[in-house]
Amino acid sequence: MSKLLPDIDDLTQPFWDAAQQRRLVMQRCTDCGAFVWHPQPWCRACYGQRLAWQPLAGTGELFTYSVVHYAPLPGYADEVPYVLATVRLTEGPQMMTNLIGCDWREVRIGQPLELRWEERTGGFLVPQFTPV
Amino acid sequence: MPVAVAIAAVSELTPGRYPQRATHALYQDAIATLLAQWPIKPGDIQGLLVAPAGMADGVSDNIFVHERLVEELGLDSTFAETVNVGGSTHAVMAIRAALAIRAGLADGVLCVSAGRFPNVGGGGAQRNTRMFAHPDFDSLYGPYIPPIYAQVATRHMHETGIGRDAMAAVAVGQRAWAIRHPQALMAAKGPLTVDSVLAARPIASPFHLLDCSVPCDGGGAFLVASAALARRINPQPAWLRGFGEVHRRANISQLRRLDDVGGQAAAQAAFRMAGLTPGDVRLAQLYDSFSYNPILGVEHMGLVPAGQGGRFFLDGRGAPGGDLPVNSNGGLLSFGHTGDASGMSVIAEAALQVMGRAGDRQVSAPVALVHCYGGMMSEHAVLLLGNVS
Ligand SMILES: [Zn+2]
Repeated sequence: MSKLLPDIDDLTQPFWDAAQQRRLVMQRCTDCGAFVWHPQPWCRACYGQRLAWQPLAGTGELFTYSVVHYAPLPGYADEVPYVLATVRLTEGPQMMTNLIGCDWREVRIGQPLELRWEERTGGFLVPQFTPV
Repeated sequence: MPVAVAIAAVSELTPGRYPQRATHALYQDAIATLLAQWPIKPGDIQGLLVAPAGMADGVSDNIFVHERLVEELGLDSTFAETVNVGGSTHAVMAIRAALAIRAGLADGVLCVSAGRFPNVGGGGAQRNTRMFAHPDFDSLYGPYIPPIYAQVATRHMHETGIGRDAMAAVAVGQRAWAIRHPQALMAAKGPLTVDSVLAARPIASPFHLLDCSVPCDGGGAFLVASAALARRINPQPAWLRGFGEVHRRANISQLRRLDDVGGQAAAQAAFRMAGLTPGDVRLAQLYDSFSYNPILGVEHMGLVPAGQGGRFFLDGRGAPGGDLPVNSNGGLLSFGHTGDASGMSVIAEAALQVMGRAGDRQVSAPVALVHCYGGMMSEHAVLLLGNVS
């Protein structure tokens, strides 16, 4: 068993196309400038529907986390204990992620994080974060 | 309130495992128990609200359960539906029933629930991973219910300095309550100590096994009634003095502030409607899927100042003998977490306490607060029950 892969549709295709080129992008409203995450057809701030995919710096800080000792699915069993986390990106939005490439005992809220790309089944790239 | 409305009658199945009973039979058992315990007659019920079973175990088998029950009760119903607002479903049912009675749609509204809750790792695990976090993005990182709620606890501990010993104190206090409840699932397991909770095996930090609610099967029913009907059925009904509900975000990754998750606004609305303040509350039933949630609950309901929730439980204030009993049936942690029906026990206990029918665990509860949340703290419903209208 491997880890989950996303279902991809017309709306989310640009995100995953960029990801396969190791670029993190997010929808941004061309009317009011608000970022939109997760992908959706309208801006939550102004209801405008002119959203453009904008590159992000791929940096942020740890908002919160949990060290998971009991995997929900077989594909994650080899990873325990793994860190389920929420990163607050430098641009403001928050994303769920794992913290990879670190000792789970040394994870601290507020620590700076940066983007990594994790290769899953078929070489599919998924965004992840690691402590700087 | 312009029109007085009360929870007139309440019943619960004993939490446990019922492999020999189909899920629909559990609904029937909950209703049969209610009708056996209370003088409810044909004609008293005009409205029916039913919670769907099968979400917690990943097999949603009947979203038309209300149709069967309308037939089986012989109702000529003015309104009936299957209602899903996650863990806040039952509190929202009480609100919908009260609104219907106030609007003159019904005198009595029956609210029914039955649920099953297999252990984590059952067949519904992948479905649940994609249901309780964003299916195409957040689900990729291996979330499930305990680590999702654990992220809330981690952040709150960071902001307030509350430690795992306070969480353990919640579990210890609620087990002490459960021992006083003849139906509680964990009563026979005996008391807990802070050390035993801290020593249990880790699940998802900061939660260890005894910080997590106990999955089981069960269900219950209650009747919301107009003043005249309520008084005929029960000389001391639990009057619905005030209520409030708030619906916000689906995904915990989008939570930005713990001091404004929605429960606060729901509580404030309920207090405004009731003309009461947090200082009037003498019993709190706070939905406790995890030991940390009552700590958040006493803060978010305004029962203690922000950051003081841990101290409240360490001082034993919510435990038997404390000045503000919390989850006096043992809560989901020790009474049992009956999956889709779990919010029923939260309401049933508050109602029984206000009615003066809580047996060995009876406290003086002229005003009781109920807080239930659904989804991943996505929606919140607060009820204020009182012994006078
Ligand atoms: Zn906009």
